Amino acid sequence: MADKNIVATLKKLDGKDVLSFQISESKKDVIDLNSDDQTHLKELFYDLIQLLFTDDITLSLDFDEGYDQNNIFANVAKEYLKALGDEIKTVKQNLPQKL
Amino acid sequence: MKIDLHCHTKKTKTGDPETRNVTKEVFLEKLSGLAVSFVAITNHNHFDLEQFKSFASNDRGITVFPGVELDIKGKESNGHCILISAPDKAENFNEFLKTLIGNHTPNSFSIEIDGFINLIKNKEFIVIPHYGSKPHALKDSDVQLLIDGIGKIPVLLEPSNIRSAGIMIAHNKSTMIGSDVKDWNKYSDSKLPELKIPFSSYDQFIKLLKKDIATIETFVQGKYSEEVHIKPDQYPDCNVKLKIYNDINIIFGGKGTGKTELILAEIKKHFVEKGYSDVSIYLPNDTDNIQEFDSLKSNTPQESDLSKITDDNLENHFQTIYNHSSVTISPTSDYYKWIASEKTKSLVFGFANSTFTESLQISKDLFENEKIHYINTKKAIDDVKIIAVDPYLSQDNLEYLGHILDLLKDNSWSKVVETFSTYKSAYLTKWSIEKLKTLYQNKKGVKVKPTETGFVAIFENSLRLRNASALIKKAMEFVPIIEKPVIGNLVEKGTIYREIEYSINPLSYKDRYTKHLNPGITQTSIRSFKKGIDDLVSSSFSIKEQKAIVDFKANHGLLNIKKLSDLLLCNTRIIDENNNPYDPSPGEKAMLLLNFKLMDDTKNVYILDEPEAKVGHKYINEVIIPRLIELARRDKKIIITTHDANIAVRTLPLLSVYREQYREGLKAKYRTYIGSPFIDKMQCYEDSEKKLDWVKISMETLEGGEDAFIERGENYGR
Repeated sequence: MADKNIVATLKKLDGKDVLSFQISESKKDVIDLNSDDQTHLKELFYDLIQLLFTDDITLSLDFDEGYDQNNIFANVAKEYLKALGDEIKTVKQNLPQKL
Repeated sequence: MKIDLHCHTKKTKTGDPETRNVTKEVFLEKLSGLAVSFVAITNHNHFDLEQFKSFASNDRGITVFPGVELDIKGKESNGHCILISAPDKAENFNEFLKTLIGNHTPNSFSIEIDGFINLIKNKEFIVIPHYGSKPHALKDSDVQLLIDGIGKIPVLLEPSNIRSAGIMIAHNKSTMIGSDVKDWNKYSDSKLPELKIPFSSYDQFIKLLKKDIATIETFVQGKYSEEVHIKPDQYPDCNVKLKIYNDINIIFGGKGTGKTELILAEIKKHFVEKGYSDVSIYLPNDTDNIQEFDSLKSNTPQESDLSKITDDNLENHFQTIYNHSSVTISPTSDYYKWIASEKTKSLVFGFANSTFTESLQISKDLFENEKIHYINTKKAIDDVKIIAVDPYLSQDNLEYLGHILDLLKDNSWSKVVETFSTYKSAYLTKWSIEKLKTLYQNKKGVKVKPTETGFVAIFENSLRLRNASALIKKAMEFVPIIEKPVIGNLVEKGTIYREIEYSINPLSYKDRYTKHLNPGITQTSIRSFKKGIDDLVSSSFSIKEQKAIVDFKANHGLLNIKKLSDLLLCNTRIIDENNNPYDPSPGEKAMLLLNFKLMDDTKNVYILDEPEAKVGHKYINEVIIPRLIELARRDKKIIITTHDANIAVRTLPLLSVYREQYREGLKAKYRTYIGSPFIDKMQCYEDSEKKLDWVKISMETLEGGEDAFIERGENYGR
């Protein structure tokens, strides 16, 4: 199982503060940090579960060029990624051996 | 349990074959192979104390009696006579024979019958002279001299074969057949008597031979089941209390004496009214038999039959899919609102900012698995404790086994407690965090940190769905499960089976199966269901899973499939030994139905009304009687009305009820006699002065009486 770091980049997109998760070279999941939306989050979660079957994944936060790192969403992103990272560890321990 | 009271272990006379010599290992192996529990070593004019001690000391549960086969000079004949002693008197027996045989060799020894009688008179021996057409038999007059002269010693006559033994029993002579083994390689061909009444010691055996009532009663009471009061409303003069045994209970008598209408009907009523659900009833009526037999060919699967496909609890897994719903996760806005709340951010109390990252589902699964493991372990241990292992283990080993089993159970229980604590602790922790947060938010009007993102919850939800759908997919790909219970044996055609195929695999569905399906469920819909399950498995842990479950439920609703057992199909047919379909004749149906009912050992009460009718004596003798004896050994209650002497005599029933018709003036009246072959008496229930001889009345009343006694030589009982 290979180590894989998923970079989540905090940036402005259409006036919203979003975290862009680079799942693969061709796939990004973009999450609005001030949204009640469940659909995109669930898609991100399923993508991460799929990756867990093949890779030992970790999450890291990056900032888009010029993004104000004192912005409140920088704190939101840090807290969210930390909580998500902890839960990924729990799932990793309990994954079925094979699909 | 068999007995061999005439067994050679050595070539002692010149004419004895070398193949009579046997080692202890072969001796025990051969006896165990024939289920012989009691054996007497009876070599010609010779007793080897050391060999006796060696053979008697065994762990096969075989009791060895010391004995000898002596040459006797009678008044009118010379012959052989077996003398058997108690095992604990082997040393005395050895001394007795040393004195008796003196310096003679086995070839040269013989004793005059008068001297022999004087030597053994009133001692604790068993005497078995060769008799009838058996080689070296004593003539009747010499045997009578022996019987009259030796006092209270039991004398058994040893004829040449079982047929002769039966004839002698019919003429009230006690007999015993031994192997008289000449070649130990052929010992397994020996025809040895079965013991209906078991005994555990030599003394007990002596009492049994002397027809000691107390010994017989002890056995009979152990088999006693319950009293049935026969008092039919329409026959006020019939008022009989019968002790029905966990054994064979026979009712016989002439036609029209009320065997079926009074006795059997009342016994049946008794068991039905007492709530016995495990009563098997066989009636001789043709129409009933054919209808009941034909019902064996149709089989509607029960919901519980789903467990035949797999041990997995498929119905629960189906309900997991059926009840599956998506989980709600914490939106990112909840995190924003929490961070944005200056009051909360500055909180020093841990709970408002605490999270919960454990998987409740996983800890619950661990607990459930341990619980199942404990239940299975406990059941297995209880099963082991039920098995009588005592004869096979020493006391130390028994205690060690008990200790290990208790340790296993305790450790398994500790795991249940540990996983339960972990699960409940996690559950309460999460519940407490969420409760406190809710209270705080409501009181302060601020947002606290979400307890979890929902990533674990999404995973758990997917895992449940995937496990359930994968198990159902696997079960739907199984080849049909085939059960092949025996219906019965036809003497000429061999074994006939009832083949039942169970399946939920759409590929195995054929036209003959679908007739069992519920209305609205078709082969097409089953295939569609299978495709839905396949889609669920292939889309598991991906976003496609959400669409697959929506599609599945929509499809499922259309298919009228409310539970997985709705899809269970089974096909039943009657087949022969070569797996070819077999269509029995009406007579064969009666035979097979009778056999099938007796093969079903889930029942405890078997009520058979004239089982010999329609099926013939050969079938009764070769198939039914051995099965009746087997059921009786297993403490089943078997109540039979019969005109067939083979059933009444050869099964050695503990209870025999004889119905007698007599005339009082012009009026027909009836008496009921109760007895058993072990005491050879039948006592009138209504008049204590009236008694009948069991052998005599059986032979006079039943069809094939004398022949039955001849055949009965196989069973020792009197």
